[in-house]
Amino acid sequence: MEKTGSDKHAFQPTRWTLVLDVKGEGEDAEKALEELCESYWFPLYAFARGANWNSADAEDLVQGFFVKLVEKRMFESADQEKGKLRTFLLTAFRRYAKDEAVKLNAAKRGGKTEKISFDYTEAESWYSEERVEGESPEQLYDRQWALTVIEKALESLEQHAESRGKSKEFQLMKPLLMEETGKEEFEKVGAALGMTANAAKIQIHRLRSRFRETVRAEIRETQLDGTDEDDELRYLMAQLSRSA
Amino acid sequence: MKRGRLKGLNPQSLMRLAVDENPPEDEDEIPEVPGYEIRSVLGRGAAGTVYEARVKNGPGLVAIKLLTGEHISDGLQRERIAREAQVMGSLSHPNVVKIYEFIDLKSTVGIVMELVEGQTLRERLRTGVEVEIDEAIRITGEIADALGVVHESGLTHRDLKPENILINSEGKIKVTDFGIAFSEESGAPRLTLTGMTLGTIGYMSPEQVDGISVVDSRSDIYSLAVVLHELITGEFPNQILEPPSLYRPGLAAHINEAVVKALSLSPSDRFATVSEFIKALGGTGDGEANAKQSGLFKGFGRKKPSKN
Repeated sequence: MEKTGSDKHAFQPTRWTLVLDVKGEGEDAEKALEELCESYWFPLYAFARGANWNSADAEDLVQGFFVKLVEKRMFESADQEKGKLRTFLLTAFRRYAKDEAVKLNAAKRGGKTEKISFDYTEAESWYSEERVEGESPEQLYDRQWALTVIEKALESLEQHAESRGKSKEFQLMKPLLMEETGKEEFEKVGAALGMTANAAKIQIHRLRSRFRETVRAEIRETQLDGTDEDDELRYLMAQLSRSA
Repeated sequence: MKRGRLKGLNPQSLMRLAVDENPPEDEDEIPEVPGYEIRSVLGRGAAGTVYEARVKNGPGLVAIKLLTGEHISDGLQRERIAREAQVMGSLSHPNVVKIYEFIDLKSTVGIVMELVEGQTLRERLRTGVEVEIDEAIRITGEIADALGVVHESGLTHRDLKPENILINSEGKIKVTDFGIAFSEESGAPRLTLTGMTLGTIGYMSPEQVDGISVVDSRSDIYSLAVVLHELITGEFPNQILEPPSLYRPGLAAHINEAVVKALSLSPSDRFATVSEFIKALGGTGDGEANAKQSGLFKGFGRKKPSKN
């Protein structure tokens, strides 16, 4: 991160910018793309299931799509998708699914080396838990992406706590992330951790701030450099509100 | 990534944490201010919105902070903004945002102030570009100059944080948002809601958080040290603060020691004045390390914390 002089005010490239700048060519871009895809596999899987593909076909579709994306560099349309990875992926995936529906080329779909590591074994049970009556596949995809962003931020916080030997503290404080917490709860968590209610309050506030920054950073990575993440955050918030 | 972390949690509530607390209003809610033509929204705070406006019949641009939404009819908020106008009006310093007038419209109240074209320190930090140590010290020095005049006037800012520190296009620092500043002589702050802690916790001194102890200028010194800590480490203050040298191993010892001392839990272990703090940062003061006494640096001497 060492920067001097003229580029002092430059933005760090987001992962998505890195991919687009070189149309996915090169090791760095490929790694960035794979990392981004790992976040999106379940939202796309849920979309496919919502669009009436069966579970095996949905799995093949997602895997085949990412193979094609990573190997064939399908970024021609990316510039027209308002700079967001979320919209680009859904558009490209729908196009791919449509082509596959015509071809029904299962051998091609399933026969490639897996590029992204997914946990398909549980995908179906998640899907049955997550589906909401009357929700369109597109809404399902967006909502799943919103949930993925939150999960990734929690994962990051959890890893950060683990690396500092603070797993126990994190697990106790996690439920208090959510909303304005009463004094008794701070006292309870504080007592369990051997600290005052005020100290617990500070720790939880810091955890909330870190969560907020992590979510925002996660979203920034899927947008172009310098794009404001507020619009996307509000959009994702609306997706979660709709299902509530 | 495994799923399941959201069990028992409300995703909406979590996402709300990340969304700006104050969603934008509809354009038609932008108020009319006699004598000014409001051009755009510059930012939104806890109770008010700051607009860029043009002075009618003149070439000048100003910033206008107005109470908005439900806060307009909130007597406490109206008193706070009047108080802010009074405090800022009493200060004259190149590193403090200038105030031009307090306006009391029927619909709302507000302050007309100097328009600072540039960015907030928060926006600067968000770029992720590492701040050079010299630059961090310069920024801290200018904030300290502003605080110096605040403290000499018998006031405490109480809400110093990167969001309230502006950097103009020439790189000059301007401190703003004196909405919860109060006079040390008048004792405990009046303008607080029952049971509500004012200020932003990550930057607040321990005595300000507990809400019982006396808060004086040394509380601002603590907040300033948190800001400098963030400038040096790039880390948002959301965990126990480690000595900054753990993040920047080449950091001069006297700077590390001065930050550690300014972050002492007990006000009496900190510097007595901002100028003493700045002197210690310059290497000429007695920025003696006080890590063991402070109790804040429980990780002192451990390996560098891992950063995600």
